[in-house]
Amino acid sequence: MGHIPYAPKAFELKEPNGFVKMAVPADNPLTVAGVNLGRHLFYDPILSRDSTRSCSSCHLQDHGFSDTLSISTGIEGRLGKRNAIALTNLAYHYTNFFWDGRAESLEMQALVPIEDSLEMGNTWEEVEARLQQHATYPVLFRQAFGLEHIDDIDRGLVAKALAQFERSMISADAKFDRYLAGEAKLSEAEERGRLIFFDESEVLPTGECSHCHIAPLFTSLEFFNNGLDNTDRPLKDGGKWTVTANPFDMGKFKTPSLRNIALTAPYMHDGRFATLEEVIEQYNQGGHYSKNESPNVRPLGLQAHDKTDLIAFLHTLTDTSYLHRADLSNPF
Amino acid sequence: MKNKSFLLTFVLLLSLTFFSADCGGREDDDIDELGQVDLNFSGVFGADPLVMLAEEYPYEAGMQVRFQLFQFYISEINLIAKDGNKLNIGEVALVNFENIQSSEAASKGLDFAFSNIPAGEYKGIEMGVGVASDLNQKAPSDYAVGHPLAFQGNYWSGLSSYIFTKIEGNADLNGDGEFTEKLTFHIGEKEDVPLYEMISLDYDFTVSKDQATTVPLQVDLKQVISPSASSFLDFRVVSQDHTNQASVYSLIIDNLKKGAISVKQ
Ligand code: HEC
Ligand code: HEC
Repeated sequence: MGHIPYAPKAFELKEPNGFVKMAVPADNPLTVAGVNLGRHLFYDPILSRDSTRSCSSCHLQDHGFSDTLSISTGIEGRLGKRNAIALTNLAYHYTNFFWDGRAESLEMQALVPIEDSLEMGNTWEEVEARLQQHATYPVLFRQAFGLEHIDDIDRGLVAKALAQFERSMISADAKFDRYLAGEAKLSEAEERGRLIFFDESEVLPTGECSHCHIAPLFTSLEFFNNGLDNTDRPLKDGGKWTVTANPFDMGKFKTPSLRNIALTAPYMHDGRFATLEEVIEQYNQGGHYSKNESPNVRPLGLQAHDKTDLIAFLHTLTDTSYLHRADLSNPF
Repeated sequence: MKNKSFLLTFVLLLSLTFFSADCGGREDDDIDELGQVDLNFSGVFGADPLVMLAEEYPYEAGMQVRFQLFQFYISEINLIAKDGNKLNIGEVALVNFENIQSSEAASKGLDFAFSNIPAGEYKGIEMGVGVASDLNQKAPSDYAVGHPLAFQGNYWSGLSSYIFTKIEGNADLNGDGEFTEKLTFHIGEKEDVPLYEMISLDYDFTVSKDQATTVPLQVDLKQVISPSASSFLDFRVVSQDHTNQASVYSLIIDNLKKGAISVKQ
């Protein structure tokens, strides 16, 4: 493929103010061609066995790259195991992907859905063969990675390209961000909700949310039992416990980001709550007591108007420009 | 898997004064005589090893307590040479007992390794409890992921301060075996209330070329929250503080600075 030009150009990622400095793996720097290839792969159903599902089938841009189902479905309508996680600012998640943290990097995560029989149900051998025989992918791979031979197209490079595209998915232009930058004003209700969320008022009740959903990512990236279930007995989905076998990890899940949360219903790892009202009510009660329940989940004493204000604040995390960014949309 | 409780990077700042004062008369190539110092922190609660979640401890007034998290920052970590000169070996570290969930883990403790330490005789160690003032002017966005000060969960934008220490757990208030009272104490520094302070510990040790020397340190959480029957955090009255009740945060941070950290005997 030596005749196709290979002139990698660095992809300029604008790191938002107030975010920790991004750590991109040294062996997978972002390039314009790499991100472009990743975008094509993300939206291409060719990766699934029956060519019906792509990454974007469950990670829809309109919904902050989540879907609208409690539990995502894969090829042939197969019911998966968990709720699709909204994808934002993944470049800052330096480890612990999935609800249970079983993938250590985006590159490793990207290898999983394609062979998951409940998601894309394919084999890597088949995916590699399809991409090698494809009319345009060999050119995109050459431009992205400079490979010499078509049969150098492999799963490792697919994963790298997907990871590059995912690292370009930065959401930092919500009303809340513009408020921080002094460019937008919060309404009275949103401001009260903000004070409750961040425990910043002496007179309003504390919501305790920001111990775990910390700005600017709105996740601390840690695993917690936030009180959904009694975890002193085994659960159907043990969360982090399924990876560590540590009984104190039973029912701990990765704290999801709350960016674009108004668009990512239903909520929690199993999609048990249809609305934010239900979520807030659950927290207001203080959750189910069990040994490893985070003590930051405690009865809050929120009144009806506190709850609506808190929800008003959560709506300020919606980043409409992210939902409409052309470079993140379907290229086909 | 990486863990935030273990320090990922230490910037080794060898002070010039140290070299000029200590190495006077020695040849330049003596600088090659470098060893390693391991600070080992073990946690206790009074006479017992400090174990998260798996252990319950008797407390004042018939209460019992169980912990899920105990962590604190140390900064400006200096070794004190025999001649009194100070050698800065680390900028900041997070001592975090969160994953100490068994007595085996407790007996191993938490290790912080510092390499490239000049061989020689030392008589002590010095460190600040909390985040040093110049570092506390910064925020996680000044660092790359992995740095102990990059962790958003330990930063409080409302206070513009790192959270120097966190203690979380559950209390059984009346001895009935139900640990339903939730405890969360998060202490950061307010602009008008400086909390950061250096502590100094005497300990004679030798660093030898290419060898690792352990400095065994002990942290007693009981000393932090209940140093005596007349002075303790009464969970029946207070179960939470986010640096808003001076009587609570002063007790915790003062005790952490005064005597809770010692050289392990
Ligand atoms: C069938 C629906 C479905 C498809 C197809 C799918 N995903 Fe997912 N995705 C999910 C679900 C469900 C989860 C959460 C699974 C879990 O935690 O066990 C998830 C989790 C993730 C995460 C972890 C996010 C985090 O914060 O930890 C990433 C990244 C991701 N998917 C990327 C992709 C990519 C890239 C593809 C295409 C190769 C893809 N997904 C295809 C449903 C899907
Ligand atoms: C102890 C940490 C913690 C605290 C405190 C906390 N959360 Fe959560 N939150 C989590 C975890 C962990 C999950 C995922 C749990 C699961 O799915 O099993 C979650 C899930 C959510 C979800 C669903 C997100 C999704 O994509 O499905 C919302 C919404 C939410 N939290 C909002 C809040 C609000 C609002 C507050 C304050 C009232 C709050 N949280 C307090 C840890 C916490």
